[in-house]
Amino acid sequence: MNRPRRNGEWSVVLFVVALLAFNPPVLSIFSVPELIFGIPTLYLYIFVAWGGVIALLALNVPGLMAGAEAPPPPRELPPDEAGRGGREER
Amino acid sequence: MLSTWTIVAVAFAYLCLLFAIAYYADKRADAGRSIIRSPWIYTLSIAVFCTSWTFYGSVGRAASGGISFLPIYLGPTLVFLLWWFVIRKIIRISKAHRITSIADFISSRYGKSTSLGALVTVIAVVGIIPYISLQLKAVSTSFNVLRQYPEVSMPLQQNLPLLADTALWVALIMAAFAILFGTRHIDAAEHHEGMVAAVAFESLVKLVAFLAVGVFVTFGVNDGFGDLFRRAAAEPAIARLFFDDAGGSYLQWTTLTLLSMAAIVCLPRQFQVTVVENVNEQHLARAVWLFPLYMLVINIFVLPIAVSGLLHFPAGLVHADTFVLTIPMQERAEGLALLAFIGGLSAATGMVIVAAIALSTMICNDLIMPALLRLTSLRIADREDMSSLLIGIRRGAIILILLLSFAYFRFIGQPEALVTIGLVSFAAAAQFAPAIIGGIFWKGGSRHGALAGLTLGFVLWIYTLLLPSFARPGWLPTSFIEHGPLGIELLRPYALFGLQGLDSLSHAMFWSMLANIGGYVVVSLLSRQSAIERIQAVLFVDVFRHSGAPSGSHFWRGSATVPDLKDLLARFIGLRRAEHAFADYGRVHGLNVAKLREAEPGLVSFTERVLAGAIGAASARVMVASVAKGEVVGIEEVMEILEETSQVIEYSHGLEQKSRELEALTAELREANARLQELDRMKDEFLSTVSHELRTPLTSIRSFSEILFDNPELGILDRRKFLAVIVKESERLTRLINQILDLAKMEAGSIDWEMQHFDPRTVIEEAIAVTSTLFADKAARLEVQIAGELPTVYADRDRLIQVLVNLLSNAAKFCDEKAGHVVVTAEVRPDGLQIAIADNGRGVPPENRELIFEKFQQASTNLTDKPRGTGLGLTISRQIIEHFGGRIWVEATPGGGARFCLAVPARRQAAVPRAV
Repeated sequence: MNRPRRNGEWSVVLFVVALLAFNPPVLSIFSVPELIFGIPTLYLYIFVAWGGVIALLALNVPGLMAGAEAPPPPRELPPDEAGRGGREER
Repeated sequence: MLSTWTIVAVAFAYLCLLFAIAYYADKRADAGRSIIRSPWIYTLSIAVFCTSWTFYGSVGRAASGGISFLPIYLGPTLVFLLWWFVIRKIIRISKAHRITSIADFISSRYGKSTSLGALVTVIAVVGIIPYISLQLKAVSTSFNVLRQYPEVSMPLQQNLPLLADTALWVALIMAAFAILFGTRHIDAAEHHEGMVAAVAFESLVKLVAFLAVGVFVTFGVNDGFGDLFRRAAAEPAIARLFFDDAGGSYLQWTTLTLLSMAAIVCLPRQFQVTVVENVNEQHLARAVWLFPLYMLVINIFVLPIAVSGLLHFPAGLVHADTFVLTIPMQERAEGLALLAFIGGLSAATGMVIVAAIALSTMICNDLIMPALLRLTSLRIADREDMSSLLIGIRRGAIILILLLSFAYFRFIGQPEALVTIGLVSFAAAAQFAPAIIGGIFWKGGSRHGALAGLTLGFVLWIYTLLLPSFARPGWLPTSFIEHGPLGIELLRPYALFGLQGLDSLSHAMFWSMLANIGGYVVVSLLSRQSAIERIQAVLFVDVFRHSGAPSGSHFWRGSATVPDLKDLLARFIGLRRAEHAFADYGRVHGLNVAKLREAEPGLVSFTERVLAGAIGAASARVMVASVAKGEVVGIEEVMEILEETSQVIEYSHGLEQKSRELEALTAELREANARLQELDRMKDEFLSTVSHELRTPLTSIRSFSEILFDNPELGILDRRKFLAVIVKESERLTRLINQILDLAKMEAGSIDWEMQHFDPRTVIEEAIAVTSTLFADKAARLEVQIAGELPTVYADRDRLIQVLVNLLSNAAKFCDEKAGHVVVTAEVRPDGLQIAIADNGRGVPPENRELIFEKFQQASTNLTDKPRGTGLGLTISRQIIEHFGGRIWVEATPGGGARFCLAVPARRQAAVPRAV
């Protein structure tokens, strides 16, 4: 049952990795004149790394949600009903 | 042919379509069948982040600064990586407190402070106006460029008369739409479903339009990415864009990343769509990765379009901010140019509508209403119908915001690049970050701290970013920038206190954030929080702990009458909905509210919360205080209540845990019970089998004895024969009883094992010597193959002999009747010693190979076969070998006989050399 906690930790790890990956000096590693598949290296690197981060983020989401307690049910006045019940056109 | 009227007609038709979508979504929402309850729509509505800054401005930025357009989108991605800790928390808090705007959020956190709400509103309005003017500029520029088609040129920068300025009309039309979308009614929950639907649709349109232009430019005008970039790489001026320092220093890159991280949370319109308009927390879980994906996709073609524009147009002829439009125009792709224009219009209107609605809500709830309520001479609080007043204020605010934005565009923003204008706004919105992030993680942050931090940050933002822009139209002398006010060099706005060498944005962010965070932290530490501040701080920071607890203002002490409260609510949200809300409350709490006279504290705070949804927390508090005579209970009491609640929650967690443990224990007990019952059954079975086994030899002893007793005249030969039977059966009986005792002792664990190290060779030889007569009797051949080196084993010597004797005598019994042949082998295996005794008898059928080790189970269950053993030998053997840590099993020999094998683990000692 300690998986959700680890998912939380993973999201922090991913944040730090992305922070490093998208900032100097890591960026300068890829700041070279070569074209890869006809695309500038730096440009290609950023988009590939970006896509990778998004994929990992998506993979991490179900674990986080599985460990979370459900949000509390709307008490007293459910927003739906409040917004809907006696709405007046003006 | 694209005439001006075609463009206007298409644009107008598009806006009407948007309105139709919004209208339909509102109708569906009223009918209770919402169309926006989907994570996709939610994601697309968050994509309002991508404005015409993205649509036109990014290309312009990329054309001069390479990848420096990207941090604006990487920053939000970074924030969404931490959504679980930040965004989810803000949403949860906002739902619990019915937050309607970012000003409401901050004011609510710091003790429902009206002054703080007003300050945030002022900062937001002043800060966002350049951003809205950017959208006006983008739309009017794109319109003016497009209507010159087929000519591709930049509209002349001239001072048009006011009424001929396209941007004015754009501003007015957008104001009209914002009013139509956002202020049709005052909504207790502040959801604008129609607006959300329209904005989501616009996000789709701008994405499709931008991708269409991108694909056209990359694969239609040029020959794919490779061709485009290779030609660009050949021109040094363009190839420069492919490096990380094209857009300025590393510091600027980091500044932009941090700014956009703050902006995705703190921009009023992002707060509106992400937090206020969120209808379901589950949607966020999908949006957190879909939204970054949206940004990634919309940015793929930015650099290709920029590079293509630079390659195609002579330097300086066409502004890079318009490449998205001008490249299709140059290529005579009319439809695509029109689509690009519509895409840009989408991006701009989406932003303007949401921002205008968010700002007007703030102006109304946090600036004007509290002021009006304070001015008791106006007797505003006594007005019968407040909702029309609220709507009037909001509509006025929208018009004011757009006119101010137009003024900024006309007088200041005109010559600037789109991104430069937008960044000024980002820097203003970022000022909210310390108060928000501090507010949800640090209980110590106080109202005074937030006021100090925001004021300092805002003042420095004005001084270092906004004021210098006033120098351009000549409202301030340029010497102000170059030499500082009154010639004081230390106060130069772009080099404050002598800080030089930074770009103006990084410079402004450094000073304003230093003052903002410093002021917030230091003043918070120095000041004392009031009771309401501490309550709100605890409720915000511990929202996940207290989400089941009554929310903050549950702590009214004092009295109010139900009719007073209902009147109050009705004045703001209408009588019908007020009654509905009270009826709901009564249903949940099992009260008949209509019959009540004195309102219980819960109802007072409920009223306040519903009211907060319409007019903001601070105003709601003032209004409720005007009818509820009383005060907030003391801080100690409140803390006690909060502590109690969390203790109760913890206690119930503890109870749950205990009951789970009990359940587990019960299950274990049940299992143990089942095992016991099984054992009991086995014991009964065992006893009945044993008595049966004992009775057989006893019966034959008894009957033969009786024969001898009854027939004294029996011949000597017969007597001897009968006596031999009696002796044999007695022996069998003795053996049986011994074995049963043995087994019982073993199972009870009361046997004395004499464990020792010894050489197994002697044991095998001894066992063979004991049983050799059996083989001799049967004329069976015994073959012994013992390996040269055997490991020492650790076991009970006599018991091992017992096992071997048992196996050998079994082999003698079951080997072939005529040509019996038994092979004994002993060899070293990796895991120890293995002894095998193979016979050439009938073997053991596979299904019985496990069974024969059970008590009283014999290989031949044939009734005709006479039992030839006690049925306990193998059971005992297994017990013994398993006690040594080894195992015993039976397998088939190639000839069909049985091979009994036993393996005993070796001690880790040198093999005992063969004893001669």
